[in-house]
Amino acid sequence: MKKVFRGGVHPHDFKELSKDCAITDAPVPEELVVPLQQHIGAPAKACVAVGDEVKRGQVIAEPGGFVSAAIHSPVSGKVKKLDTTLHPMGMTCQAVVITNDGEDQWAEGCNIEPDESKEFTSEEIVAAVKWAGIVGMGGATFPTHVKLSPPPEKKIDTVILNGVECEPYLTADYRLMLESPRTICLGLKLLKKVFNAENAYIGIEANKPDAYEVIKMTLAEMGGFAEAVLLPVMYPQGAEKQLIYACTQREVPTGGLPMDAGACVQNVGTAHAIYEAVYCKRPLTERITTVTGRGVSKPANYRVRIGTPAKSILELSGFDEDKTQKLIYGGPMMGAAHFDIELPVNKGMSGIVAMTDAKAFIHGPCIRCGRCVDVCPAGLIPSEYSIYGEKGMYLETAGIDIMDCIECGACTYICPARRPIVQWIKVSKAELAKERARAAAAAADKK
Amino acid sequence: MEPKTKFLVTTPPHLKAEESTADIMRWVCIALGPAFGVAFYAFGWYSLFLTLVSVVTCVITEAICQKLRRVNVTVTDFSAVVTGLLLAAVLPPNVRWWVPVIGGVFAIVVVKQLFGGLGSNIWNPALAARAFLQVSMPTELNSPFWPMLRDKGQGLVDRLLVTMNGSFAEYAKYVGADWMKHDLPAVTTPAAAIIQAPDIISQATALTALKSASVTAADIVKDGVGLQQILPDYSQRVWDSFIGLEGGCIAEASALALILGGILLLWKKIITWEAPVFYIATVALLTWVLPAPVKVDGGATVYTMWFSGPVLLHLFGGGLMLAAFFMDTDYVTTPMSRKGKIIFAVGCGLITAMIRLYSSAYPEGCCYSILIMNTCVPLIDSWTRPKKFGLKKAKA
Amino acid sequence: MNIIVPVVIMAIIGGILGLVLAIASKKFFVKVDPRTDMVLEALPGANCGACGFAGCAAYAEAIVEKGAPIDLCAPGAGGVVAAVADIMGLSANAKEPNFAIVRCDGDGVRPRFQYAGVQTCKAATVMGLAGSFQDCPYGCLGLGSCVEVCPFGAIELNENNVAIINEDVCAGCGKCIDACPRNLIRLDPESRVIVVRCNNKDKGATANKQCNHACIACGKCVRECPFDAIHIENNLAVIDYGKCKLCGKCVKVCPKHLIVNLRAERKERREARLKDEK
Ligand code: SF4
Ligand code: SF4
Repeated sequence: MKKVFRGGVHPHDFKELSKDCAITDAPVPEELVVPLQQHIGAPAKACVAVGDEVKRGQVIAEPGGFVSAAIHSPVSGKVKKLDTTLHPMGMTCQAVVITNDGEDQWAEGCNIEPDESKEFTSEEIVAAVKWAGIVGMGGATFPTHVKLSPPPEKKIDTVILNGVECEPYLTADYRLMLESPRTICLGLKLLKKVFNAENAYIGIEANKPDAYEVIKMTLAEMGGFAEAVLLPVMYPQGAEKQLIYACTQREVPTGGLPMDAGACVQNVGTAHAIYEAVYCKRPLTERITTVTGRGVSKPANYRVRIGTPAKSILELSGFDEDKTQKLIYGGPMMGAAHFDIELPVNKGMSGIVAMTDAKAFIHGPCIRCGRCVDVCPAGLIPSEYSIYGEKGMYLETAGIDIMDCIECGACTYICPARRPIVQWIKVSKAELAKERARAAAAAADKK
Repeated sequence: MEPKTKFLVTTPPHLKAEESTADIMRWVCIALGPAFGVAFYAFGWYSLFLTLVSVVTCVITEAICQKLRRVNVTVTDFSAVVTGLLLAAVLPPNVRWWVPVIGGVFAIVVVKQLFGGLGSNIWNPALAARAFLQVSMPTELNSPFWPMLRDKGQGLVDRLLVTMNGSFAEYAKYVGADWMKHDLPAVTTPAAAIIQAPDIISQATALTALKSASVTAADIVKDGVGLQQILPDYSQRVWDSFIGLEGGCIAEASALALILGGILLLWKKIITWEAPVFYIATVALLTWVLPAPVKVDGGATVYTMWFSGPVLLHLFGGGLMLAAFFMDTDYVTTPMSRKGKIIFAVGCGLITAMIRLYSSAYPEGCCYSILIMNTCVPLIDSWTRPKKFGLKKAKA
Repeated sequence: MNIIVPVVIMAIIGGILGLVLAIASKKFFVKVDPRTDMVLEALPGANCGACGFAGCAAYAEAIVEKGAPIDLCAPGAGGVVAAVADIMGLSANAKEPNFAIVRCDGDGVRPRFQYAGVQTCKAATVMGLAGSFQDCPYGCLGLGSCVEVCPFGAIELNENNVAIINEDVCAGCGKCIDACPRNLIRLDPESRVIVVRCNNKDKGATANKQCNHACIACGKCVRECPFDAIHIENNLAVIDYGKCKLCGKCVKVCPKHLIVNLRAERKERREARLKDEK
């Protein structure tokens, strides 16, 4: 096994709950709420009007800028209204509400029979990815076509697929790797083609040995254009920079992007989506989502349409609202807790966790135990951020490298004083951003 | 007002490691168990009484202080209990009851709460209190330690009976005696008899014996004096110190018990190995290599030979094991990073060895060495910031 | 007997040191303008920093040595300026005092969920916390960060957990403005007695669902105003104080009773204050 990054924690992974549940198709509801902000960047702009007939795969919202992604209708039906909905992260965003007509007709030119012998050029692939509105499916939701178009001076020689799924509870990527290794590997091949990269890796954690074997075999069958890498179990192995280090021993310079280390990381789910977009002309209208936690009686991995209200798949899994204390959209380490069980599934929702044993901790003073320092994968001193934050010295944190924090939450997980370090970090970062905006405005005023 | 939904919302992460501050403190208390067990057995009920006084004082003082500071009262986190235990651990077993009271109040009020409470104190509260007591009432702390009972030839059962039946009354009387005079009560029980037996009262602890050793001119050989001349019963004393038959402070007596506690903490990952190992290693190396001064016939000074120091006695005697496993691993007053811990421990070892070997009067150096190094912690912390991920050049 | 020696020694050392100090203070005496001390006396001594200097002493020095304007002290609005003017021999233009107002009247707002974590308003508005505590994403969070920063103890939370300002105590230093992540607090001169107590910028229908006391942008006040001083901006009634003549007509028509008239209250208060000063 390869040498991994510094720090990291080992939370119990609870994957046993949903690990052996094969992916099933979640029923498509009568009404879908498709949010227009499902990615990082500018929200998409709706390009349909109330009453329009839409087909599955038809573009219903155009990208709102370069860093943005198109959104497609997940079903065929009628646009009922343009409304707002809550994003798991808390902001309110526009949404298109579509009534399902039950026909599930694809829009013209979509959903063709894949011809795997066909070759594509780099531009064709990027164009297809952009058309399909693909974003990082691991939860980061960064528009993929942006990542695939680095500035020309940055040479990317390594493509890494993230099959680590280091978040506890989630098994969506694991199931996908087991059930559909071929599409993932073909997706990786396309990615390799985009950059004409020399190396390609798929990183998989050691707690998924069967997925590793399957992927390794598939790669071998395809002529070994990429290497499957078995990595020790460690959170946050799936963080881009940490994964690059684990696979290539290269460090992304602080403040830099993966491309500064000549690498590009994509989730296995994204690779699958790229395959579908390029070979089958199917835009991104569904994803795999794990519904798990002790608050549901039948944990499962669903293939669900974007825009399906979480409530419908939760109920399918036997959701017990009384027992559940905390509802998390995404993984339990970086996902968002929410009070609303009706939020629509979006492109980045890798899981919904219903926790029954969530505690409202009261934090104590930092006892300087040094655990957070030991576990921080970024090599920071997280306790300092918590102490500065407690005193309201948000702006001073800029001097102690707060911008290098990846908000993985390892420090907060391990802290015996139960200090919500990540929350303070978020506040400080937000205040710093405000301050920068203020400074920029002042500078503009001067001119 | 009742919230609309009962769901809990916090920022991520939503998983938390099991271990809390209180758990850690509880494990430290448990790890001190063997050492205190040996102490209660060897020194009798009175040491238990002193320990309780110390713990109760610390807990009550902490609660009062936090009330006065209008912050949450957090005595349930056990940190005051740990302070109380550690303070008792470094007190001689024959001090009067108000000594731990004064020490406890000083530790909590002056050393801990005035600096902001748990997590903000600069010095180890227990050791700072011990140092404070040392300078403000030296006679009380330096009166001959109550001896162990080994020389009386009693069996185990006898010893238990002695300490359980008679002695507490004697101790109580002793406690009530006029403290300026150190008058001892009349002999009525075997325990008191032991207390007052002159040969034992004057028996110094191993380290004091080393310090005050004196040789005759005839003992001097070519390179200096050897260990044999200074301390003829060296191996016996090493053994006694190791298992806990040597006099000393309450929980310092048995190196074996302290090591067991330390191993427990290491196993539970409460402490890391760096600090104890480097501390012990530094002291061992220096006390083995360096020559120590000895008086000839109580007059001129000669030095012992190089590379022949009484290492084992230095390791097992005195408070070294207590300091290594419980004091220089204290979170609050030691550096956070591993590298910092090593620097800290080596510094402590250096100062301990220097005090033990070359100070004119003070036989024990652990307390001051750690206090001095505590002061340097912010400096060490700023030297040993972890290496930020991503500082290596991107492309090889 | 033994005790006498140390006592004598200490006494001698003390005497010598005292002498040295006395000589030093004569020799290294720095002349300070006596007015600095007098000005400092006159300032309220709250060290709130509203004047822009590092505390009252720094401001006093700036007034005397560098001729800083004398009306910068917010807490001491009226009386202090007069006193300082007296000392400095300047004419006093008594400044009108400012009061902070909280532009939220979030009556009966229920929290949406249980919250645990850092109990400050800024921390409660970070990304990833399900939007906002209450249905209204613009209103007071009720965690009291402003209460904590106010150097005069002028802010408290009312029974609905909404911050309210006690104008008897408020010195107008403006420290609370920065503490509020929702930008609800504004500093208004005393004479500005007509205020809109809401910050909800959502469309009427949405706002109505969010809070009983939300501005629904119905525009009644706009139509009522004889001076064209009130407008709906971003679905919220906003008064243009350049035009407003403080007639108070809008107060009567607001169906949500969000526009308030503080004239009566403030008048009483001012009279009481003037009586005090005499
Ligand atoms: S959240 Fe930030 S500070 Fe904490 S461990 Fe992760 S990278 Fe380090
Ligand atoms: S883990 Fe918590 S208690 Fe320990 S040093 Fe970090 S912030 Fe402090």
